[in-house]
Parts: sequence; C-alpha cells; structure tokens
Amino acid sequence: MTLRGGGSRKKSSGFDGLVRRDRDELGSRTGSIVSARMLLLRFQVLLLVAAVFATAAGCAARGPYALQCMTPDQREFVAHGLTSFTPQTTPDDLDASFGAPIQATAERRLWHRSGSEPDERIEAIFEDGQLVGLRVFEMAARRPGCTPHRGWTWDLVARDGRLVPTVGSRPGAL
Amino acid sequence: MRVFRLMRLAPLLVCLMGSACLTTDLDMQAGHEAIRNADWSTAIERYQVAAARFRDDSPPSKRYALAIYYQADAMLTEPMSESAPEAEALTREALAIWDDVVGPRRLSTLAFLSRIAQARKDQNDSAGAAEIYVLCDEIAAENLPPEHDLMRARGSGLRFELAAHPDEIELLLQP
Repeated sequence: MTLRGGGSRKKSSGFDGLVRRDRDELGSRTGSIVSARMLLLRFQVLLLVAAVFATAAGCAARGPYALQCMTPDQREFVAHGLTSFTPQTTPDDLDASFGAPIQATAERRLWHRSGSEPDERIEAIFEDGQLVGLRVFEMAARRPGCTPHRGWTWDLVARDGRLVPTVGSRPGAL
Repeated sequence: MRVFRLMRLAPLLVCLMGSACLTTDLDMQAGHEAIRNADWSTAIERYQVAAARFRDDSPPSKRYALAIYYQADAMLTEPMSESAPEAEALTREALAIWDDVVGPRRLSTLAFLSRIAQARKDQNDSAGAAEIYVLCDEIAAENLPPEHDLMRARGSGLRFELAAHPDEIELLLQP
C-alpha cells in the first residue's frame, strides 16, 4: 500500500509538477493577456472620460450668448443703444441712426444693414408710440467657437424709462 | 470580464453609428451649410430638393415637416423677402404635420408659430402676428415652468416676440 501509495504519490507528484509548470506558463501567458486587456480597458476608460469632458466643454461653450460670440459691431451697437436710445426715441431718430428702413409700420420698423459684417437686420418694436424693443438679428454666424446657427439676436427692451438688455442669458453677454 | 464581453458589441455599435451618419440627409446638411454662409438662395434650393424627396413619405414625416420648415425659414430670413405668403403657407403645412407626428401644442410648436408670426409681420399684419403670439403664450405656459427665463420675462410684461429669442426657439427643433 505504501509502495503503491508512494508510487502513486510519485506519479501524482510528477504529473502535478508538469501541471504546475504548465499552469505557471499558462498563468504567465494568461497574466500577460489579462494585463494587456487591463491596459486596453484603462485606455478605453480614459477615452470615455475624455469624451465626457469634451462633450461637457462643448455644451458649455455652445451657449448662444457666449461672450466670444458677440462681434465688436454688436458690442458697439448695444453700448450705443444703451446710452443713446430710450423708450421716447422716435422712428425718425432711429432712421437717422440706421438709415432708411426696409419696412415701416406704426408697430414695427425693420432695417437691413448690409454694410456690417456679417449682415444684420434690426427690428424696432413700438407700442402706443413708445419704443419697447430693439432687436439685432445677425444674418449668419460663422465665427469659430460659436454654434453654427442661423443667426444671433441682441435685444434691448424698455424698462423704467431706459432701454436695457433683455432678461435671461442676455446680460451675461455684455 | 463582462466588460470584455460587452466590448464585443463595439463593432455593432460602430456599424449602427455609421449607418446613422449615412442616413443623415445630405441635402438638409447642405442647406444648413449654405445658411451658415448666408447663401439663402442655395439653402432654399437644397431644402426644396430634400422636401421633394420626403414629400411622398406615408404618413407625412417629421423630416418632410422639417425640410419645408427650414425652406420657409430661409425664405423669411432673406432680406427684402417677398415670399412671406409662400413661407407662411409652407410653415403652416409643416406645423400641421408636426402636430400629427409629435403631438399638438408642444414646446417645439413655438418654432413654427413664431415663424408664422414673423411671416404675418413681414406682410404688415401686426394684428395677425399678435393673435399668433397669444397662442405662443398659452403653449409656453403649458410647457414651461414659471421660473423659466421666458416665463419670467413675460411675467414682467415683456412682449412675447421680445421675450422669446429666435435662436432659442430654433434650438427647440434640434434633437
């Protein structure tokens, strides 16, 4: 029994040795495959995180009224509007500033400024003879870093006897 | 290891994304590109081509509604446009389809309505435009919380056409 057992143990030991060696080789190979996969996984996770950040940054920069999306012309217009126009500004005053309108009714006056870059439409809205709003509509936006979009608007509205930028995201643009 | 199994789906995902890109309509894209370049006539033409292809969709589709909406919008954006009546008719057709497909009185409806109001104004019909803005107000109130900028602006007495910025309204249509 002992011999048989020992023989058996010896055989088993030799087989175990072989298996262990195979396992070791297999283990090291498997280990290298796993570590390669881990590396790949880490790389993919990194890519995913980068994509998430890039998307978030893109969304943040996409705001239609981001400061960088306002042209010097528009800044000038808004500044000029804030200081020069009031609800009492008459259509004639506006014509003197913007030229002949392309459309004029008691409630609305529309100008097209083709000399500006890019082209702009300016719309003035009157209520009971008072100027209640002035909107600049940029005809196209091609500036880098800004959402490619049909146009941009910059609004001034009558408030407490003055023309002020509209509520919402507008003041952030000034 | 489940992650690795999931990663086997990556090629399928890539294929799906590729097919999605391919199905994006090239004429619509060309129209948008022309708008960015302020080339209104090309934009109108490309949207027309897209609309012609989508016209036979049965039932009438969202993509057809968008194609004719953008076509009308480009017509209205063009300075000194004399095609306001045609633009209005197209936008009304687009709105009718949109109501069927997406549902009536949704927030995106405002995009169509504000363009119809603009077309009315371009035809010197301020009263007609004002009626449409009343409808816009109702729809905005149904869909927006009171703390939304638009609602606050309206609450402070600002007219709808000044409280709602065309850029933001246009964004309502984007997926």
